[in-house]
Amino acid sequence: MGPGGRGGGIALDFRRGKSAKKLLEIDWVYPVWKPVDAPAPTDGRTVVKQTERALPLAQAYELVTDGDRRPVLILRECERCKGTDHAFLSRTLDNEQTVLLAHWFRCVKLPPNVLTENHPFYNLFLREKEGARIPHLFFVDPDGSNKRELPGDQPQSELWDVMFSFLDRCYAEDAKSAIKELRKLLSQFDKIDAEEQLVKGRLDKEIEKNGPDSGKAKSFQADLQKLAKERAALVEREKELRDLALKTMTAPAAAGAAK
Amino acid sequence: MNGDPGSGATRCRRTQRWSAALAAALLCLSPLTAQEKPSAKDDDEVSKLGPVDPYTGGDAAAMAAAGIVAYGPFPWADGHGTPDIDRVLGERRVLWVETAHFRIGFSMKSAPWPEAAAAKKQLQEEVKALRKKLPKVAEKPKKLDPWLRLHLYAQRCEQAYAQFHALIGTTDADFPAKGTRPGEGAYLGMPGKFLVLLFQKQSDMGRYMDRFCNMKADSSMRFYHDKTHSMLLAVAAEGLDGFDESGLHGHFLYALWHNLMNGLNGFRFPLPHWFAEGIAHCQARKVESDFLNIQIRDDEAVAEEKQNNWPVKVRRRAQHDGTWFPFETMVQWTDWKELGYHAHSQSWSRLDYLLQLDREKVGAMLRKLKNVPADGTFDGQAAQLRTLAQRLLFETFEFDAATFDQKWREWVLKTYPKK
Repeated sequence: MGPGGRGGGIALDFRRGKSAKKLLEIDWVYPVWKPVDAPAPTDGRTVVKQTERALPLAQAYELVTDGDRRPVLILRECERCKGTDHAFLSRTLDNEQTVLLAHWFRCVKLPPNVLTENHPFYNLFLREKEGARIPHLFFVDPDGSNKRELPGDQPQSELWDVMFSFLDRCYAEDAKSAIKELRKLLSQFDKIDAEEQLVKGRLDKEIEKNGPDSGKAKSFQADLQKLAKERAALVEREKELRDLALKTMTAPAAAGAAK
Repeated sequence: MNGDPGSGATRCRRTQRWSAALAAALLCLSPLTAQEKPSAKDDDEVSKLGPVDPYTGGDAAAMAAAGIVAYGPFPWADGHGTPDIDRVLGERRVLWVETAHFRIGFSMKSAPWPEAAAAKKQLQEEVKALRKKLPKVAEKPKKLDPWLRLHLYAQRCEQAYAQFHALIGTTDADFPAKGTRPGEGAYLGMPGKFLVLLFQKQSDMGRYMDRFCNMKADSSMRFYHDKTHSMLLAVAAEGLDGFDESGLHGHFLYALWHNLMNGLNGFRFPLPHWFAEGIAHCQARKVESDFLNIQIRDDEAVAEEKQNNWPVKVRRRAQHDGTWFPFETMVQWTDWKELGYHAHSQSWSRLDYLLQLDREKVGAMLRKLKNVPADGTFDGQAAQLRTLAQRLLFETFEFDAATFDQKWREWVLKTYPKK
């Protein structure tokens, strides 16, 4: 390029494709307490209706885990912070590893009013010592044991240390090596997504121009079939990597009083 | 529950199925971000604003001018009221208003103006219309604050309701309140007002749906509250990643029109997909937006270029045999999840054609379809409705399937642009 010429080149696209993006979603659950009304009496007596109150800790864990045996991440939403998820995900750093690690946890979000005394999940965030800071999030076994609290403004490395400590203890296989492979897989999915979209675009245009029976359209369809096979292999590999084999742990309802 | 296909629960499941697929479609079309990032904004914008509407100040005359019947608290659905919802989600996190035909809960935060000039202009016209009723609305507000957005959505709700009446040739007087059963109510035959919940956060929507509807959903959902017989539309902006205000508006209209059609004379059986989807898309596409309310199936090839230019895309398919859906195929569609980009865009085009031929006849078709006595089987009646739609098409437009295909193709090739 001569002097004074305008800089050129193709902008690099670092955005993840649709498959990787799907894999990078956290499957949050938002448990709620539901009153169970007693059957209506037939003899005219008053109907018994459950009222909302703070549940005993064992019941609270039973409700938030709902039979899920994975270790649990519990995050409380907060109206005073700069966005609730900030407590878990960094606004400035790469969150891919955090999100991928989160898949091995049951991820629970509780509302801001969880800190009010009669909220059913109040006891989950009960201050354990007078004057202690109420955590923004904590990791815990499904039965309420091995609780590890985090303030919400912790460095990412500290968060990962806690997450890996749970994964090492709760799963049979090594999460660190699985994560490395999963991140490679994301890039492979990106490649397939890009190739597939390119061929699909060409196929669509060819059909619009010459109809579905043109030779080119058939050739593009064959290309798509080949890519579909490659995708299926990646999906299978992803499934294998995700399966770290959960160790047998205590049933959620068994040890409710643990802190 | 499973053993009683006519029960409300069955109908609710049907609603869930439509909407779950809808939500997935929207997510797959939203712009891609590098990865999940936390929101940088405060979560408490709505609770900071407080429950007093700054645009009416609670003044009765101003409220009447704006079409506001009441602010919360008020009864909601199936025996619960807005205080019950507030208790679950947290106090003062949702703004509540009631209009003549709707009850609306709103927790979306401030939104910027859409960037596209056409979308901005359209929104400016809406703000202008609102300002005539509510002079406190700024002529050119810098941003759309939550109360302003809520007023815009209230205006859109009532406007859609009036347009729906106009389509089917009725007024409120045609629906006197006669009882508490579907078909006897004052709201197009529904006893309960139409409900709209527009959340900012997926978590809030997830909690509402779980606690009060007993189902898991956190992006976009239509639900039938079958004790008070009211149709709910719930949307969480956070779940429609990347949608601007116009995108949300289009999605909202699409889903709202489905609820109005389903609610007419009671939600007792599903309408033929080609017909209902066509009408809903015709309404939603009046909003200037690049976002689509469709699902591109994994096995569909759709170039990213011109994806939203449905006239061009439909025309290019209509010119070749084997690339468009014959009407005989369309009437057999039974599973919403099976409908992809081309099914939706061509359903839109079929209705685009019929509506320009004779709008009144389309309205009459809809009315007649919803006047069919329910046999209580819900899905079991779908086949009867599909056949009836074909018969009505013949009676009102003198189209058998082949004639409809031929006339529609001729019109598409003559009317829609080549590029």
